[in-house]
Amino acid sequence: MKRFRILILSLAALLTGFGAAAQQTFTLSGTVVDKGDGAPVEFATVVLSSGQWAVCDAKGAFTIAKVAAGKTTVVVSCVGYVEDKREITVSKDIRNYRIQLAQDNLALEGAVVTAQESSSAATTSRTIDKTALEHVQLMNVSSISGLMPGGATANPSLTSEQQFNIRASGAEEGNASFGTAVEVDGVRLSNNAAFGQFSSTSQMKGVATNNIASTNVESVEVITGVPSVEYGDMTSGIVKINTRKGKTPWMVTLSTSPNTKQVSASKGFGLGEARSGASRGVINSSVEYTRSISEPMSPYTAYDRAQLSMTWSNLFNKGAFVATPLRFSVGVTGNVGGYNTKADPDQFKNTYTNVRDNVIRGNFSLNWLLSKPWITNVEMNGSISYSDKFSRENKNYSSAVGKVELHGSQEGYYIARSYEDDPTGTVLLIPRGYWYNEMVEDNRPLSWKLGIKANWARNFGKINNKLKIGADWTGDGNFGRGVYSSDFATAPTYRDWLYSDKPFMHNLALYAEDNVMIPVGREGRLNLITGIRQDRTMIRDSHYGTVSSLSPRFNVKYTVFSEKDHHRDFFRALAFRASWGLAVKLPSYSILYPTPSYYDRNVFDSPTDAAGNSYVAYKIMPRTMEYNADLKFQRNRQSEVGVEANLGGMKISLAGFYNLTLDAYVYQSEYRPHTYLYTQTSAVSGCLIPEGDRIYSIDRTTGVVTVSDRTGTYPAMELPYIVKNEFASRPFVTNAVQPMRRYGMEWVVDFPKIKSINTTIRIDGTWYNYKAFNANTTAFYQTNLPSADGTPFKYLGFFYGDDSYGNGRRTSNVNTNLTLTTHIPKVRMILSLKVETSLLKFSQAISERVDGTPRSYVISDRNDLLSFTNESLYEGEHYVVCFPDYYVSFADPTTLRPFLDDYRAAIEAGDNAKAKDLRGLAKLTSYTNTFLPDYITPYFSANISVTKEIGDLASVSFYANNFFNNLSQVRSSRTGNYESVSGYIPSFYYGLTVRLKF
Amino acid sequence: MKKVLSLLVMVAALAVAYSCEPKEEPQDVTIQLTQNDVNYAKEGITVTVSGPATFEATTNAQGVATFSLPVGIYDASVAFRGIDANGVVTNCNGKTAITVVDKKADPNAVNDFKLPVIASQGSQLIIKEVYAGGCQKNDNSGTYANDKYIILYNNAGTEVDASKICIGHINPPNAHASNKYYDKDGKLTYTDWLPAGYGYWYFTTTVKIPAYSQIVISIMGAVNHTETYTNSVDLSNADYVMYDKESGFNMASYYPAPAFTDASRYMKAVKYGLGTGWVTSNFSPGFFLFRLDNPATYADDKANLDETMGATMPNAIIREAAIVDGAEIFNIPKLADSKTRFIPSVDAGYAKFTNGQGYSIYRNVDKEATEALAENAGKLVYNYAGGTVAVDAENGTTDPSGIDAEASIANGAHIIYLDTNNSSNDFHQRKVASIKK
Repeated sequence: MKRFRILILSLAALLTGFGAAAQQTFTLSGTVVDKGDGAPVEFATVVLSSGQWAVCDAKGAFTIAKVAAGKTTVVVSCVGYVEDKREITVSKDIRNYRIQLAQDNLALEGAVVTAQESSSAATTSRTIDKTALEHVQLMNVSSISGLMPGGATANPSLTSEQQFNIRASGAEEGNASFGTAVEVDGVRLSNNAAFGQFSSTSQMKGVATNNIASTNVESVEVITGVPSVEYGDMTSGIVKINTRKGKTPWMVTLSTSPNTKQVSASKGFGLGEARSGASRGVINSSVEYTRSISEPMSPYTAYDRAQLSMTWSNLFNKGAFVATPLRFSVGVTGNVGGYNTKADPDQFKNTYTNVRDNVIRGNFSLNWLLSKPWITNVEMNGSISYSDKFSRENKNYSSAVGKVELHGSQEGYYIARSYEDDPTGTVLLIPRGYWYNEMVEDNRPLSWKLGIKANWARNFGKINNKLKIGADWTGDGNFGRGVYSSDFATAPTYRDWLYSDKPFMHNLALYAEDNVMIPVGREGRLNLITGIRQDRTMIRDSHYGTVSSLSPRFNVKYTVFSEKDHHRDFFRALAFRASWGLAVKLPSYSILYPTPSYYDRNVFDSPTDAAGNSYVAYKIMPRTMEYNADLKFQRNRQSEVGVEANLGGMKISLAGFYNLTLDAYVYQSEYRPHTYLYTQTSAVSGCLIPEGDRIYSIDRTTGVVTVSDRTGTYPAMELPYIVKNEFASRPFVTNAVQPMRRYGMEWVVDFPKIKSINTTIRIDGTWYNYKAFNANTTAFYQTNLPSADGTPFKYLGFFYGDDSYGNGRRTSNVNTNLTLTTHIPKVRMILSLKVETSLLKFSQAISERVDGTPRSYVISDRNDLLSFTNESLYEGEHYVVCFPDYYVSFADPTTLRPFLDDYRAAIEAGDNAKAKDLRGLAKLTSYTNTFLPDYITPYFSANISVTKEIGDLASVSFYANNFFNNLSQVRSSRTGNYESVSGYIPSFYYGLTVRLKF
Repeated sequence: MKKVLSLLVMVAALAVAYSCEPKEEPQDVTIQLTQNDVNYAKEGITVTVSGPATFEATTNAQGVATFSLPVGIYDASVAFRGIDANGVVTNCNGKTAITVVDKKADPNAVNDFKLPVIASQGSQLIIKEVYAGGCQKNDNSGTYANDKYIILYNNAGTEVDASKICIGHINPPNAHASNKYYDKDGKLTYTDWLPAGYGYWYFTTTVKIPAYSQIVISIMGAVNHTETYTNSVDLSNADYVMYDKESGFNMASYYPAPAFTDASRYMKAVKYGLGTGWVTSNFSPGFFLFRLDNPATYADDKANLDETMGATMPNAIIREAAIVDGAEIFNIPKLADSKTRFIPSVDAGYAKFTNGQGYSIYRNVDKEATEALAENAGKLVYNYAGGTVAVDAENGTTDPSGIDAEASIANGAHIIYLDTNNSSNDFHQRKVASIKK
């Protein structure tokens, strides 16, 4: 840590020293006007490649002072206009530089409705602009995954949680969606403060995008490669959502589709000028209401989203800020809504599920252009996000006998008591009958972030250098009470566990990045980006203490030549790029503090009395370790190579990637020997006390059950018991030993426009491979299978990897999309037809060890687990068996015995009881085709979208997914079965949106 | 233009002509009854062929029944009381699947089939009633089915020793579910044994049932269910209860502690499948009784377990000789998908049942044999109205004998129940469970 600080400071000093040397600077000033009517474009932003910027005033005029001599790129953008990008050489003061901006509508040639590569980025990054977003009629922002190369369209849904999965699939190991970061206007949406989402059956998921308003999104940038070090707490890419900013006319949209209805309105109000001439800024406000139902036939279970957002942005460039303008914006977004089944008449009376999804987000950002020799600009941003995810579920219960539920959290033997006798409800007896109970989860996560970033751009001769140094301080916490019941007297089994008890998680990150652009030869350019980020995670007063992690990242891009000089040749542009980086994903509360689990053993049931009550006794054991001191943070090591070329107007982009997920968070169980006293119901038969006068009690430490007489006539009687030995489980979170491997290739080919039919063709696709297997030692125990002699199961097996015949999976997919876009500027209409195909869909279960020795065996006779043949696991139909490597017995829990040797010996010695018990630890496939390769036959789905502008006032969009209504069948090569393709492609769906602009 | 029009008309006519399919003519089908591979020549036996429609025909003197059937797949069955080779009155049942083919299309096709008839003795210990479908909860929130019971009955005049009797449930639990024991030709792969799924229960003490008497066995919950669910039954006084938490069947909702503590009335279980509750069916229960010498260790022997349904779901192989009685029940809404799970010697038919209404499947009275008993004179109660014909006109059933068995027993009569090993004839759906007063 200390070394890191020294490195940063010395780097800054060195460069400051450089900067002290004089450098020639000039002033660039001009006007930005509308190409159509020549009107000045107020609030247009002019940005140079050095990071210097200016904002146009009411007359469209801008000035940037202290521009370094040499080549620079000027990017002019304004909401509602197409971005203008040009390269100029600055060798003297430039005045009256006139830039014309074209209005962004369909009358413009060159409108695109697909994701565009960010050609300036040195990593794989794609931007989806407003035209494409309107064309796709975004309802849930996660739908943009369909616009990525090889991406498959999914019907928009808000009634189920949607996450982003970048270069991964939700069904894979390694918490894939958790590693994808989502930012809205710089506000990071975080799922780190979520509790209870990580368990043996569910992976940690990323943030749900359901509550992000979709209508005021201006553009979305998706970085799938190695991103800049200024982005942390992510391993699989980042999705940056930018909402509309700047002065805009009224924009009203009305949207409808079978499941969802949406209405929204937004406007950017210019606040005019103060008397001093300074602009008062712009307020962008937008209001949106969306209602989504899950089943059109029963439109009662619904997800509602009502959102109001306001952003005030202003430019300070008068008075003290004349030479150093300051851009400032502050915004607030409030979202009220959630999921509700209450009105559903098909649900039983008074039962409902109600989940709130209320969020309030505030953010501010500040960009101060200093243009000093030693610093170009300073950015500061902060955000805070508070959610209320209060959920309620009301259920109906009934029972013929008294129902026993557990709420105790201390170790010991306890017997059922009614709520009146024991209000703490350690073992609660609910009298028979009918009742309702509402379980509630009070979940209120809070995340905040404060960041500061300084840029320093400097030219050294022809070499452009940009240095970025920044620091981020983020915090996550949860104010919720956790899970509890509205009526404790009838509550089902749960234990109190406060989310608000857990300390806040703080993370301090420091990063530095250097971006060098070196011209090579006459027209080549070499761009090198080196960055390093250090994250320090601090959880006060907790066992975790402070954890530090380092993420270095490198990007190289070599542009051999670009289109500017070669637009008449065949080879018009060529660029190569390569990246390598490390990214760390901080754990969420679900991983650091997994929900405590209790091992509850039923030790006695009294006979059911006339009132219908059976006094059931349990041994309660809190068996969770709240922390794993050796837990490492999940990391992703990414490498990428790419080529971008333009051959005769055909734009080709190829990217190959190789990602390794190291130390993925996994949920495991371990077992300890456990002894308890068991009392049979029939043990009460010798009791003289009449049934109505009996009081049952159990000794908390010894577990002996006593029956006493309420009237005192008869003496108390201790019941006889049996001692039982077993293994009890305890869960914990640890890291996967074996990394998950993902590699593949993405390609995008944009053919030149066929002018006669105004059509462009794009072919994009991915070839994606995944392989992961579990190499952690997993303990396995048969909880409900008694030993051959009737006592509880006495052996505990240790498997290599999963406690199953297979311990992993590998998949391979080739998805290709063909998009035909016909754009007729005269009619202001764009029509796109997208055919999505899956050419290869391969999946296979695997059973492997790291050292390559066999883990599972093929057997010829399923009744003889030792009938090994030497066939390969993956060819042919046969049964496969897997044994634990070692096992221990209750009698000797510390000695690891080799399983296969002992099993063979037991069979040969004719020890049927031991052989039967050990066989209980073996895992045998139920089918003969478990390990066969599974190829799903190719399938396709076609979508059509049309957008038509009606003058400048309105535009109408219509889309239909799977409009061929492809209901054919696909065949699985593993089972030989045919199944409907509707599980793989979206069902026929359509949507219509009307947009008014006035 | 005219030419085009006429061409179109011709094409259309051709299309219509081709699309008209030639009507399939009904085929002549003969079914020959056989017993032990020898033709069973008996006249006047009704053979039933069921499929998309049901047909009946009587055999001629050679034991051949002739039908005229459309092409298709059918089930041919026969049930009657006959005299076997030794002159003993026995129950005869036969069931087989037949495929009728179009002789026009394939002149070599044969539409003559053999229907093997299996003779089986009625048994002394029988299943008298199966109550496993549950009833409606008081608040109409659904069905409550944790109150199942089965009644075993001694159908003869001498005491029967039921100590070695075990109770199992067939696998798959639901007759309308996909059944791995059916091969591609639609035939059961086992012919002389039955699979008992998930586990079976046995007695831990000597059980002797007196003549013409019953024992009530509570399958789940020997408690009074009627306190909460008035449509249910009171099992707190059941004779025996399936309660053995240490075996692994320890699900609290299935097995609350019984109301009595006498351990000799608890049946023990042998569990070899997964789960904490013994799986039985609410829709189409398939219980059967069998006799084993060593019930506690029978399932330890791998040779007695069959893993057709998966290594984690073995079924105990209960051989024909050990089986005492069984009852196949199909769920009425799912009749079309139901396939028989019992071999013909145990049960060649099926009883029809609607679950969730508090109905039970109750055995019909053997009118001839019961009226023949001298001690029953004047004690039998007739005009039985306990069936479900009134509530379900299409599929409801009642006791054809018209004798109200429970009322007669209350009157001191000795009832002999009908046991032809064919549930279509032996059982009816009773509106109210018999132990419900």
